[in-house]
Amino acid sequence: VKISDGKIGTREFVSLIALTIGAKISDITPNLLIPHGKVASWLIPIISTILIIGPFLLLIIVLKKYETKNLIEVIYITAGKYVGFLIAFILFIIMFSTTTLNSRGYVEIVASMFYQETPHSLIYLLILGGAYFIANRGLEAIGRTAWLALPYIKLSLLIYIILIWKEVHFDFLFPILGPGLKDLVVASTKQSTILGEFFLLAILFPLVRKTKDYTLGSYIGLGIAVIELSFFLALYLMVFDYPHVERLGYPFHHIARILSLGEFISNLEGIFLTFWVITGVIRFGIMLYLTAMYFSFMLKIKEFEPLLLPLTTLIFILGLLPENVATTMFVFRSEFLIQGGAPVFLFLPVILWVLSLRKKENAL
Amino acid sequence: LKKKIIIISCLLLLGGCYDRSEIEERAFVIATGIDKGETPDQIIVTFQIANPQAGVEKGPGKDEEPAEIITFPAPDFLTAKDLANSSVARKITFSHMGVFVVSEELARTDTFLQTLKSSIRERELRRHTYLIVSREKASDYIRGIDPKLETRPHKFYDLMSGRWRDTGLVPHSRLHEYFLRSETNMDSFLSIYATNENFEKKYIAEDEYLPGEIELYGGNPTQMIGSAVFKNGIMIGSLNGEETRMTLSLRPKAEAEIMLVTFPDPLDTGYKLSIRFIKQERTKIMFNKDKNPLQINVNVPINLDILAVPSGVDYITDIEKQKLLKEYLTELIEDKLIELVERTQDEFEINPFNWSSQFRREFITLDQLDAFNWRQSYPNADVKITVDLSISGFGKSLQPPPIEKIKEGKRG
Repeated sequence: VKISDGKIGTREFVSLIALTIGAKISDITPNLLIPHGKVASWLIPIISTILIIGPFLLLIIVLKKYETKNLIEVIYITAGKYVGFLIAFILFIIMFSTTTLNSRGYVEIVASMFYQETPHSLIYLLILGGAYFIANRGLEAIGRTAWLALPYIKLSLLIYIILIWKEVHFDFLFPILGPGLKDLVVASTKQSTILGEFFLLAILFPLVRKTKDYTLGSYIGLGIAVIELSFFLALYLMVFDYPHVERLGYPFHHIARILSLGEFISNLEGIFLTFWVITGVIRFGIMLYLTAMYFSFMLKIKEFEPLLLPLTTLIFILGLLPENVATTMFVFRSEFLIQGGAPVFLFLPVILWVLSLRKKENAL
Repeated sequence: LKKKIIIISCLLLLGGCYDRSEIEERAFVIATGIDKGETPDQIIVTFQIANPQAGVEKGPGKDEEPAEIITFPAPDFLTAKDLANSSVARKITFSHMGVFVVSEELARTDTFLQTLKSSIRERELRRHTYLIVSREKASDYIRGIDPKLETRPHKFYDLMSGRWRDTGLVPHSRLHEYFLRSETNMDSFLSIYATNENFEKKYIAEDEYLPGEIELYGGNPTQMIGSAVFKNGIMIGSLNGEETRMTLSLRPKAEAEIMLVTFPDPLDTGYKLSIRFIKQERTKIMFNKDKNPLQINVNVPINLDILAVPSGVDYITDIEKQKLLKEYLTELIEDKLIELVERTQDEFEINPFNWSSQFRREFITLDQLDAFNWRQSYPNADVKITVDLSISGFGKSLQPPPIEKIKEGKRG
């Protein structure tokens, strides 16, 4: 019998990454990528992965040096009190707004695709309530929940793929490079924030049992998430063809509405709604927990669990402020968060690495 | 604490009741028809609403009508839903709609794309609803359908629209394909073409009809055969049953796989051969885009089963005659196909065979593809068609019965 140490292992960490990033196939993320990548949108996650792998390796080097410290503590050590606070603050803002905007995005999807009459605030309350319930149990419970739910969620996606397969046309992926390689690389750089959670999860580094667990978990988790993102983007393109797919909000749910088992068993989207909501609630549970962690370590507060409820409430109130999906997603998330966040994730590890080198020289 | 738990569980469990809907309170629209209105910003909407009580063995609804049909003018399809509730007491629901009927008159107007586009915003409308173009008014078409074998109209629609797969006389046309094709806008979209009215009757072969031309007596007056051709989202012409079948076999992905057709007998022209036409392999389409005009080579693999030879010629054991038949049929099919391709080039100036889906493979970036301009090159393209014919079977009997002998009263 293992004694609970509040830490998680490889498989839990894999589940955390696969759920937080993988879940993006079913929200509005495809709609933000497809205008840039056009028929080759499915290449964007792959190119983005290649771009972030270097910075990520640097980040691991830095984190390994300060084994027991988490990302924010490392930032304070290497960058000093003031600059450190600034960087930590930027990361917190990114974390906080990601959680707020994405959770609000979920509400929009439920409201426009499924429950038209239910007030937005009630849907939001239920999603965030569930997420808070999970986050409140602590990291171990979150990890275990994610690990438990992961196989069922992926199985439901597999069934989804099998059912839609008869509508798939491979021809729709051509011309293979879409807008051209140069545009694709530019788009992938700008949109590399779609894998941003991968960096944000680095704050859990000391809470994963071994360094090896962390690196292995990262690679497997990222692998699963990227394959999933790419595959589903390709699937949307193969079913709807560009440019029609660009105009469909939430292609995941549009496909769920087409699915049928034979001629007579149709209208199956309710089944997929269930799995999708479970994914969402776990995803936001993880995000809430991370937000609280960033907040408390930024302000050097030792206990962060009591902060969960006030932060959740704040997210709930702020999340209800934007008027509609256009403002939340296309203005805030696309222009501010995704394109503004990309340089942070790409350059922060490099800066930290350089700073940590300097630190070592000073120590000598 | 107990109170808290009760309150929270109520919130969780009863939260779903906001959007509750009772089946008893719903009116399920199974067919919608739209016609041109008196003014350009108006359409005439027809809803066929199913009556779930009709046709049950016992109970109060036993003798009720299977459906209620209402027709009224409305500014667009979305607001028509509320307007219909001025006469229907139940809440109108589109989630089980099977067909969307559009009159040819409306389909040919310039604003048709916008009219239909607004419909897809309706949350309940499903993309796999079949799109049918009726030669007469859509309201008349829906009223005229009178299936004798089916008690409930929705089943008739379900079964009828599924028949395309077996016969190939009508294309596979759903709203999904309509939107997809009209936005990519490289090839034309084909829709099911239908009517209940009588047009000039004629007897040709089994498949060269447009709807309303088959001499059909008794039963349901409806006829679905042939297809309406759309260009830029607007109807521009029609193909008859045979042309629709050929179109489907020219498409790269095999669509209708097995159809029954007749061809004239090469050795005894007074008779026709009944043939099972099997096309399961992909049609191969090769492009030579360096040539001007664009060169397109099409290879159509076809398997045939000879089912009936009324003339009594022995095509089965006589290899020489079989070879002759094969050559004859190859040439015949090639000629028919090329004639159809030329018609689409000259008359429609757009390709209904989805060849652009193969053509886009020739390019690496979208800009290159757009620069080539497929839509303008197709009408002038130099198309060559070769048919790879193989006779794979002879139905259930090996040799035709010796009809002459039997007629003479001898033993066969």
